[in-house]
Amino acid sequence: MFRQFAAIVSPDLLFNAHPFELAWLLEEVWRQRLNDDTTLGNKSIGDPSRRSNLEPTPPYTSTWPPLSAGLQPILDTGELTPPFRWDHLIYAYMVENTRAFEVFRRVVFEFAHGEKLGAPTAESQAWLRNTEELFFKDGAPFFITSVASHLRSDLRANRRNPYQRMFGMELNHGGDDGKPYPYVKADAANNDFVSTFEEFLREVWVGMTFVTATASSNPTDPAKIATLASKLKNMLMSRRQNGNLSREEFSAVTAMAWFHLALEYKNNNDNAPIIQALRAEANGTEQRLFKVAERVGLPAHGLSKHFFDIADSISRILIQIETGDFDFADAVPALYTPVPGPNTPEAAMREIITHWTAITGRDVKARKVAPS
Amino acid sequence: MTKQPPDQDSRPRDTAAAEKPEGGAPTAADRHHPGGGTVPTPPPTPGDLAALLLELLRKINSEVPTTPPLQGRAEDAVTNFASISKDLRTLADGSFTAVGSSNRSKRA
Repeated sequence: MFRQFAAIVSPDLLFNAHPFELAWLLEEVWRQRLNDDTTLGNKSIGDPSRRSNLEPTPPYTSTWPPLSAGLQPILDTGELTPPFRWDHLIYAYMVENTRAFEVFRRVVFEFAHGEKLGAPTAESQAWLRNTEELFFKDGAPFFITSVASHLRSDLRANRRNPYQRMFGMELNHGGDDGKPYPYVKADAANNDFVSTFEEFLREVWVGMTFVTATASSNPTDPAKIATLASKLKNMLMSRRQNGNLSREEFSAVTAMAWFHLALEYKNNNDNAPIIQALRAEANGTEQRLFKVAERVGLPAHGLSKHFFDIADSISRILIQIETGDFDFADAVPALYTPVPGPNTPEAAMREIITHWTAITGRDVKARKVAPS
Repeated sequence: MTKQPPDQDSRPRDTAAAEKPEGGAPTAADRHHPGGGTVPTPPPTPGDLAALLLELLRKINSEVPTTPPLQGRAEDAVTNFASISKDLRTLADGSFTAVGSSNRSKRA
């Protein structure tokens, strides 16, 4: 979510804002979320256009807007704002796999407990306070992002649980000691997600390969792609029934976007204040992460670039799959047919296929070999 | 004695053609085919070759497979994806309005 805010206002304003402002901003995003509850829309709760029916805190009045003037444009009605849509849970899963959360946890820990990393710069003080307030505390009562409680007190375990339920996948790292991270695993989980998604990628790749074929036979199977997309939609939406997991998703994607933005932000050779404080300036999001990780002695994932690069595309494609757009064979050519423009399903699928192959080590571009 | 088919060497020859030096200009015997009297095309000039080449390229280009246009639901899917991407536009997709940060211009 913070990365979407940074498309409207300078990331510096976000980094330097009061934590209450940021918490309130997130509350407002939830209030002004996409919420198609019209009879005509006929959207079930949990749908990408109607994620939840849970209420946020009461709205602020015009006499007391708790936001500073600099952040106000985020809530102003304009080309980019509101209603808001937030990223799919898969975005949080991909970014968390880089180990950015754990690395920054160490950063905050070290700055809070001593001067092993030096004294934090004046500019980084606000970032450190915001980070600790928003992502390493239980959260203020009643706020929509406060998902920690006596029943689920571990913030890190609180994200692993939805990952397991939605995708049947665990993070690629355990705790700091290298042991598997303990969390509650649900019985109702999409254990077929990975195999179905990979089959989907494989079939779309066949479509990409033969999209311009005229002289050869074309093995593209739009009906199969539509069936796989529909299967993915059904399993994801089954976990989202009546808005289930929407709060957890919102909380997870905002947390990961905060750390992603701190690493991603590079403006005229200027970096996020915490990157400057750690002397972790480098070229590229993953290179900055590697440097921060080096400073705190906790290695980030070697394939972090692939995780960062796939995150946006896979989030957008899964949201669209959940809308049911690709349930029909005559719609799926959009997934493998190149069309002009920067944000196209074909370009996103190409990016996903490339990075998924790198991350998993399973080449979805290879044709399946039928056993004889 | 069985009659053998004439071998290559025993066939009647166009002696004039055989005696023509390699790479030489066409002789009268070249132009008058022994069987029909048709006149072979003279060798193409460099200009002819260029024209032929251009024609060939034009033909190849016209046969390059093109992407089939998207219609109906597929076209709608492209529009919807662009809409989702716009909703989720980030700093990586475009610049922010640098409010209150005069020393920072648009993203690098």
